[in-house]
Amino acid sequence: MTGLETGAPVRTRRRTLTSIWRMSRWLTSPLITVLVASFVVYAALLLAPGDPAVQILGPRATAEQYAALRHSLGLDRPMPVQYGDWLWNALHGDFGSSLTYKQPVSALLGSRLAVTLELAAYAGVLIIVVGIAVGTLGGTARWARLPVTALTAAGIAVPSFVAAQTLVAVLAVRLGWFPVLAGDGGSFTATIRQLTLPAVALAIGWSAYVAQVTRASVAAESRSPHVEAARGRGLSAGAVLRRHILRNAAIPITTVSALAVAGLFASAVVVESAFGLGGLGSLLVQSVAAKDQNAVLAVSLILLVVFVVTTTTVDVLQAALDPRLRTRKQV
Amino acid sequence: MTSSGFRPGRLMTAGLAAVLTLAACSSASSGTATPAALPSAVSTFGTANGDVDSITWGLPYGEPTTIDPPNTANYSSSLVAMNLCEPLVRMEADYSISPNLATASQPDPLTLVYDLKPGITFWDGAPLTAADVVWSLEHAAAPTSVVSSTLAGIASITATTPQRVTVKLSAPDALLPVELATFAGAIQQKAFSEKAGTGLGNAAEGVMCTGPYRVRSWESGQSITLAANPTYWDSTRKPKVQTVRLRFITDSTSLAQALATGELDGAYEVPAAMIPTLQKTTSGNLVFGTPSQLYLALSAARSAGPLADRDVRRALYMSLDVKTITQVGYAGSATPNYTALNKDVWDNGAVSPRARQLWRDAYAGFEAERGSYGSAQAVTEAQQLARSAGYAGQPIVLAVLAGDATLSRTAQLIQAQAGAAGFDIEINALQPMEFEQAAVDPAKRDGIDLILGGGFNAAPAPLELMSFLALPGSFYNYTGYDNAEVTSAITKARATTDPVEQARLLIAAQTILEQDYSTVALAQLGEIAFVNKRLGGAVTSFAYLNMPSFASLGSAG
Repeated sequence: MTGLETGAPVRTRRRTLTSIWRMSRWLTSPLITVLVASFVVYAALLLAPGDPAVQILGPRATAEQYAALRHSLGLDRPMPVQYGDWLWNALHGDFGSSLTYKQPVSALLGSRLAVTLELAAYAGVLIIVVGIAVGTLGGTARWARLPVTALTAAGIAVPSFVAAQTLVAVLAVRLGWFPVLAGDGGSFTATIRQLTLPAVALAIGWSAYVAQVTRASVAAESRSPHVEAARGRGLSAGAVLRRHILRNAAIPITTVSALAVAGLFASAVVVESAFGLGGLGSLLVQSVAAKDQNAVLAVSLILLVVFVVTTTTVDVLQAALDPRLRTRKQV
Repeated sequence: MTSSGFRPGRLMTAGLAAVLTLAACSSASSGTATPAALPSAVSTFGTANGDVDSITWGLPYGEPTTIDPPNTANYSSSLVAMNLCEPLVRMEADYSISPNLATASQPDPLTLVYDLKPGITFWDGAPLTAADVVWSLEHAAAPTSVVSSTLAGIASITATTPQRVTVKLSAPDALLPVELATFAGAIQQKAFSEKAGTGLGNAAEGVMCTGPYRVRSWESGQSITLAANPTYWDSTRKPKVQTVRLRFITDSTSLAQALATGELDGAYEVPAAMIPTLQKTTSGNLVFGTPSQLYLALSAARSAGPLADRDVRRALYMSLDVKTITQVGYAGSATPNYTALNKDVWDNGAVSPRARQLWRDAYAGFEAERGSYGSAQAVTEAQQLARSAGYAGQPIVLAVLAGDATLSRTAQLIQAQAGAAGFDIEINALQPMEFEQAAVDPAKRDGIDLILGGGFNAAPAPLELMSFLALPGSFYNYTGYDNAEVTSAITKARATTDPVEQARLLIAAQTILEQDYSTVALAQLGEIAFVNKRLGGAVTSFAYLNMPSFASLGSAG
C-alpha cells in the first residue's frame, strides 16, 4: 500500500521526523559554534601579553603585591582551568566580576546593551531601507546605474571612523545640526537626533554593500525570461517589480541584509568610541585593552549569539522564500 | 539615448569626489597653521563670580574604575574621588598645604597628631570622628591598596580621643605628611565603608565622604552626575556649580570637537596633539597649568646592553636637543628640563621657600652644563665620546607607548637626533598593557634598552621621586642603580624634619645621581586643560588631582 492510497499519514510522519531532526541540528550546530568560539576568545585573551594586576595596582606596587592580587583573582591558574571555571559559572547564569570595575559583569551590560541595540536598530533600518531602495533604483533605472555603482563603491571603501569624523566635522561642528556627543538621553526625538550621526557612520559601509548586492540581483532578475514575459503580457512596471523581480531577488537581498545587521554589532565598536557612546562595543574595546576577561567573554558571547541567531534566521528565511531548499531530495 | 543618461551620473560622481576631498581636508589637524599666541602657564584661570546651574565635563581617560580615593590609579578616578572625599590637610593650586578636616602637628619625629575640626559631617549627616580617620588611613595603608607603599612607614594609627588621631611611625618620615595631603589620605566613613565591603567605590555602592560634591547618579558606561553638597561644612568654599555631569570621551578628536561646540564645558588632561585645534576654538580657553607633576622621561631600561657604559648614556643625552623635542611634541605647553627630577617636583608651594632657592641654584648648574646639549658641537662630542666608550653602532631598542601621536613623534625625533651622533635607535611601540608590564617587570625589559614615557608624581616632593629613582630595588630604578652615598643621603633626608637640611641632603645626592645618566626628564609637561568661556575660577595646575577642583568653578561673567 502506498501513501497515495491510504492518504497523508505515512508521508506526514516521516516529514515531521525529518523536520525535528533538521531543527535539532540547527540548534546543536550553533551551540557548538558558540562553545568553540568562546574558548578561542578566552585562550587568545589570556595568552596575550599584559597583566591585569599591574593595571589595577598601578606602577608603584611591589612584585609581592602583584602576585598576591593575581592569586586572589585566580589569574595564576592554568588557562583551561580558568576557562572551565568560567564556563561552569556561565551555565549557571553567573558571568563573574569585572576586574576593571569591580562589579558583576551583568550589572555592566544592562545600559550598554540598550545603547548598542538602539544604535544597531537605527543603523539597521537605514541599511535595509536605503540599501535596498538605492540598489533597486540602480538595478531598474538605466540612468541610475553608473552613479549607484560609484556611490556604493565609495561607501564600501570609506572606513567607518573616517565617515564618523567627517560627519561630525561638517554636520556637528560646522553646521550644528547634530550634537558631537551621543548618549545624553532625553526624549525619543532627542535620542534620534543624537544617534543619527553614529547610525549614519555605521550604516554607510553596510548599506553600500547591501545596495551593491541588491542592484546586481535586481538587474539580473529583470533580464530573466519570466520578467520579459510579464512585461510582454502588459503588466505595469510596478507590478512587474513587486511580483516578479523583487520576489525572486529576495533571497540574496535578505541574506546580505541579515548579515549586515549582524555585522554592524561588531562595527559598532569603532563608532561607539568615536561618539562617546557607552555601548557593548566600547566596553569590549576597554575590556580587551585591560584584559578584563569576564567582561570580554560576556560581550563576546552576546556577539556570538547575535551572529548565530542571525545566520540561523537567514537559513530559515531562505527556506521560507525558496521552496527548493525545503526538501533536500528535490534540489 | 545613453548619452543623456550619463550626464546626471557624471555630475553625481564629480560631486561625490568633491565632498570626499572637502571632508578629508576639513578633518585634518596637522598643526601646520600659524599658532595663535599660546597662553602662559597659570595655576588658576579666571575668577568665579557667580553661581552656575550645571556644567558638563569631559574625562579623556574614560570612565572611573573606582571612586575609593586611595585606590584611584588613573586620572579620571582621582578627579572624581577628590571632589567627593577630602584629606585631613588640603592642597591648594600651587601645592601649598593647609589644614582641612584637621590641624596637623608633629610633637616628635615619630608621631603625627591630627586634631579634627568640630562640626564636620558626612553627606548622610553623621559626624566625622577619629574612628573614621583611623579606618580610612588603615584602608589606604593595607597591603592590597594602590598607595600602600607610600604609607609603609606607619607603625600604628589610633583614635586617642573621638576628635584626635595619633599616627605613630616606625622611622622618621618627612614624606608622610605630604602624602597624606594627596588622594592617599582621603577620609571616608567607617560604617558605610565596612558595609560596602569589596564593592566600596564602584558604581553600585559609591562612597560616603564629607566633600563639596556627592554622586547623584552613576550610569555605568554613560555618565556620572555630581550634585553640590548642601550641608558642606566649609562655608568659605561652598561650590558655585550645582550639578556636574561627567562624560567619558576617550577619542581625542571627539573631545576637541565637543569642547569646540560647547557640549563639554571643559576637560583636564587634554592630549597635546589637540593643542593646534583647540587654540583656534572660540568657545573657551586652552590653559596650560603649572606647577605640574607631569613629565616626559627617557630612561635606560636595564643595566646590560649597549647602554651599560655610563659614558655611552651620557653621549646619548648629549645628542638630544630638548628644546626642539619639547616644542615639537608639546607646542608650548611644556618646558625643557635638564635633570632626572622634573623641575616642578621641587618648584612648588609644598617646598619651603629657602629649600626651593637651594634647588633652584642647583638646577641652574645643571642647566648651564646641559643647556648646549643637542647643538652641532655637542653632537660631534657625543659621537666621539660614545665611540671611545666602546659603542660601535649596536642597535638600541627604544620602547614607547603605542597609539599616542605625541609620544611616537617624540620618539622619532629622538631617533633622528641621536642618529646624527651615530646612535642606531630602533623604535619598538608597545601596546599599553605590555608597556605597563615593562615598567614594573625587569624580565619584560630584556630586549629593551631605552624607555620613553610620561610619568607623574603623586606627591610634590623631590624626596619621593629621588627615592623611586635612586634607591636599590625601587619602582623607577630600572638599571639597578646602587650608590651607598646616595642611599645614605636619601635615608637621612627622609628622617629629617628640617626642610632646608632635607634639601641640602637631596641636592648632594642629586649631584651624584645625575652623573649616572640612567634617566633624564626631558620635559616638564604642563597640565593642559580647556575651560569654556562662561566659566572662571578653574584650578589648572596638576594639583587639581588632589583637590575638589569643581568646587572652585563658577560663572565668569
